Amino acid sequence: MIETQNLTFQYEGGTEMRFPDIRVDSNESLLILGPSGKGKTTLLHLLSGLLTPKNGSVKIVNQDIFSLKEKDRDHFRGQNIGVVFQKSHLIKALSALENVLMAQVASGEKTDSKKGALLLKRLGLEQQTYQKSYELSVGEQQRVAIARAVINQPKVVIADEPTSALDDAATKEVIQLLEQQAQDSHAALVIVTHDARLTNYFKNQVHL
Amino acid sequence: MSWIRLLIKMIVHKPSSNVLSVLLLAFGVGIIALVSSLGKTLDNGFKKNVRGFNMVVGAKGSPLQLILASIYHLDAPTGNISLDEAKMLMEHPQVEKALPLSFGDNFQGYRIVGCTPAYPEHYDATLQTGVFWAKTMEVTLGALVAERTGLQIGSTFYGSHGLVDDFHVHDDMEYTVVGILNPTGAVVDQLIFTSLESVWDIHADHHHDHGAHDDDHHADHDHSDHDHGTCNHPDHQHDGKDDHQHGDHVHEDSSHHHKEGHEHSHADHSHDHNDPDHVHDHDADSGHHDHAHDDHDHSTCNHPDHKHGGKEITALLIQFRNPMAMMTLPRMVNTETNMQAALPAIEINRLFGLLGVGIQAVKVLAVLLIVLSAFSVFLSLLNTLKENQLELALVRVMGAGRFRVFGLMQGLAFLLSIAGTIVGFSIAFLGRWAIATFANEPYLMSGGYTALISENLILIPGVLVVGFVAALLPAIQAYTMNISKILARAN
Repeated sequence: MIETQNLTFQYEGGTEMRFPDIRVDSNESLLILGPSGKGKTTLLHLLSGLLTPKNGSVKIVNQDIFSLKEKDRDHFRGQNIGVVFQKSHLIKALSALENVLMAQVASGEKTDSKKGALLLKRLGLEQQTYQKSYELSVGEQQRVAIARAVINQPKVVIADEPTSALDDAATKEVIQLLEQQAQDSHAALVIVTHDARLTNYFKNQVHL
Repeated sequence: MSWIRLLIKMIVHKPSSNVLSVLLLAFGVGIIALVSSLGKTLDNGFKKNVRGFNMVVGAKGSPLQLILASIYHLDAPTGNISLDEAKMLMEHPQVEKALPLSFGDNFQGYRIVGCTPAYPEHYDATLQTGVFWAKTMEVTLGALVAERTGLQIGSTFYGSHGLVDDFHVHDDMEYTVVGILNPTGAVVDQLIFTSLESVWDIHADHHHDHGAHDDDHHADHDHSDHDHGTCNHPDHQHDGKDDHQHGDHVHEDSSHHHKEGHEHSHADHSHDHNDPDHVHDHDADSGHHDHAHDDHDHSTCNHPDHKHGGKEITALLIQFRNPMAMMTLPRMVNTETNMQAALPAIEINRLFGLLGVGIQAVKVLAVLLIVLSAFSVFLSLLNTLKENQLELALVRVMGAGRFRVFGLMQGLAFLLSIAGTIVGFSIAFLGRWAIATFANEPYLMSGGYTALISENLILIPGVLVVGFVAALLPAIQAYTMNISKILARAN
């Protein structure tokens, strides 16, 4: 589960941004909606510990991530937070499976290629397991990115605009996959988007 | 999956710029290793073969030539000295050991040296099979000679005149192999040993047969002409003798092969020209065949073959009884006799002083290559960082700390450096092998492959440090990169 309190952030020379408190328990989902320029990406980076807030706290399973040293926070993120980006940035030199396994390498886990392959199979990518990531279609790449986000069974899955480039059918599919995968590892799912279509899928919503 | 694997995949994924870095490094490393190994091998080969000889006595001429010819058997000899005069030195109280050598012929390019068994034994050569030569025309082979020529005990062969393989064969005197020596790694491996008497006999006979011999093969050839061709003396001009086609005579070969020696021997010879006997010889040359022998004797400066009264040897290798002799004996020989004394230590240092400058220059060039490769590694890594900063940011989102991405950049440089070093040493090995195999230079043949690496171990940490320094700035940039900014911009 993830919980924030009184989060504020200020870019150098910018105005202070305030964010509403949120709380998402495991196996639950939250949609954070807002137009461009309202600080969606900033909030996502705060939630995942990539940016340090001016005030306030982010707690993940009761651990205040900003009370950790940077190095420990990086490690904590690797183990407990899965992030899916708008464009599913994969490492081009690696295959689909290797990209998934990199999440284990980077977080200091033992690599488990059986688990990775199984995960890819569940996401319908059995054929693409050993394919170079740059050879995959955009939709396939996104599913690899989802697999990569959940392989360490994180406590929180954060997705940044996961559907902005997709049509309605694909959007539905990706949302279902995300919910499914998050629930499989009993994670809290946080989706940050400006895509109003997603309001139909989530009962818990926060508007920036 | 592992970090190492990620690095290798990253390099393999975009090899182009990395290949240049690796090749530049490799050539720098390879050239340094090869040149220093060759220098070392030469140096070792030369120093090893001096074996405690303090002085070499031979005919007047270039001292370096005398050393190269008598100790290393590389150059032509400066000429002959009389055995009587040499004996005076051999019996000198300050001389511990004196080995007379007489040479001038070869078999397939391997020199036939007239000497006593004390000479190969001085180099710790022992018999592999057979015995040491005892009778005239018996020979014992150095290990390499036996290996390369395939001669065995009981084999017979004819020597060729001169010191390189040519077509003037002493087909009247046949050598018989009676023994083969064990390899020593020294110069004696490349020599064919026989008695001093064999050399004297063969050239005495050769001398007597000369007229007949020439009649057989060179109808319009005469002795006076032949003789002068041998030494190429500018002062031996015979005007109006157009019919003397001695350019193609085999004797020419051994002399003009070694130009340096002749410049030196000229002085000597022109000096001799002043004595009355010689003037007489000169006159004889202008047409009187009967007198030609005198002249022949005088002017064949490289051949120990012509004796008229008194036996001759080519060189005398001397070991002193005490260091004091170093002060007196060489001076005595040079001032009071017709012979020359040369000191191996001095001549070899002089030679390597000259060689060393060249070796140093090549090494400096190779170091510049390595510095250039450092720039290449630096630019290549900056490029990698620019192209892959999103991937590096991603690696950090997935849990890697700042120091990990610093390490990734350094790891790339490390792998490139290691690859460059390995390829470089491979180039050096290949070059070393090619030189040993194809160059056929006896002083470059002996191994030295382990020395190639062991002598150049410093290159390995050296290259790694160069790689580390080159990667420092890109690695620091990776360390300090703002992942939030990079990710925000990428979306």
